[in-house]
Amino acid sequence: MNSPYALSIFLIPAIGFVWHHRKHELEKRVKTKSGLELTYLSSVAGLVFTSISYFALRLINFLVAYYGNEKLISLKALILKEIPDHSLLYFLGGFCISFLASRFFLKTNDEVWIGDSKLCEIWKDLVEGQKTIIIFLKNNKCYTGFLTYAEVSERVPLEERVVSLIVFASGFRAPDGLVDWNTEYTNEIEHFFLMSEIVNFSEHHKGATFKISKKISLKKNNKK
Amino acid sequence: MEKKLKLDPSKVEYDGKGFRVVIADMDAFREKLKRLKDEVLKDIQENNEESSDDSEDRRNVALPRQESAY
Repeated sequence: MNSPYALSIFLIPAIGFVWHHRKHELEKRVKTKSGLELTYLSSVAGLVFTSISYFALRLINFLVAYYGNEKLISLKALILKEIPDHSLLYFLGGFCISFLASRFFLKTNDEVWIGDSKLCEIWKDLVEGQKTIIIFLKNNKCYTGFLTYAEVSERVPLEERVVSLIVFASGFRAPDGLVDWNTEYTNEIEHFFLMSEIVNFSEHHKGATFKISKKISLKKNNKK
Repeated sequence: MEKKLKLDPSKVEYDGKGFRVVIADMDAFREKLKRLKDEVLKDIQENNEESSDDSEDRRNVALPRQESAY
């Protein structure tokens, strides 16, 4: 029978993957790890856990042989008799240690998220600040409302990412930039917008309705 | 380059795909929503009145339509 050491090329990364999969699940990570990076990190973690398993089992073996009574030695022999190759135990031990360590030592941290995009930070700040925002769509429609959700994960394709608002009013932006706010929304329901349809967005501020008062603009021009 | 950034779990949560606002008290949230909406609509109304001073621009004197959905 082929030695399981030949299978170690698959088993060691698999052992490490148990740890990293759990870590990835718990981390609030916007950008997913690449396959190459995950394989490398899993291999390293797998080597560590397999080594721990190896030394732990060798220690147990030594202790049983040195201090164990006849019953214990015969029990050990009975268990090992069923296993065709004893080195399989090291990998099995590695899986167990990896699984237990990932459950005991890895905890979710609600106060930290991991990202590298400025745009993600902007959306996060707007949601966290519980802001009213204005979004402008490609079809020249615009909406102002309370931002409730912004999808930023790179696991979601860009054309499927959504933003949701509880819309207060909507309008239409003319080519000259003037916005015609013509519809008030009375129900507090979330409206979902595809991010790929959003041309730009801004935080709402008093006066930022994108309507230009002709009087004021004339005064500014006359100052020249 | 990836970096760890702070999140205020009392205001926002990351659900694995995006950031969602946390609503601890629904009643307080509804009041806040109403206040924000009134501010926005008042602002739009004030700007409408300023713009309507120009006789060429006769659009949007008031918000004529109220809809409960699209």
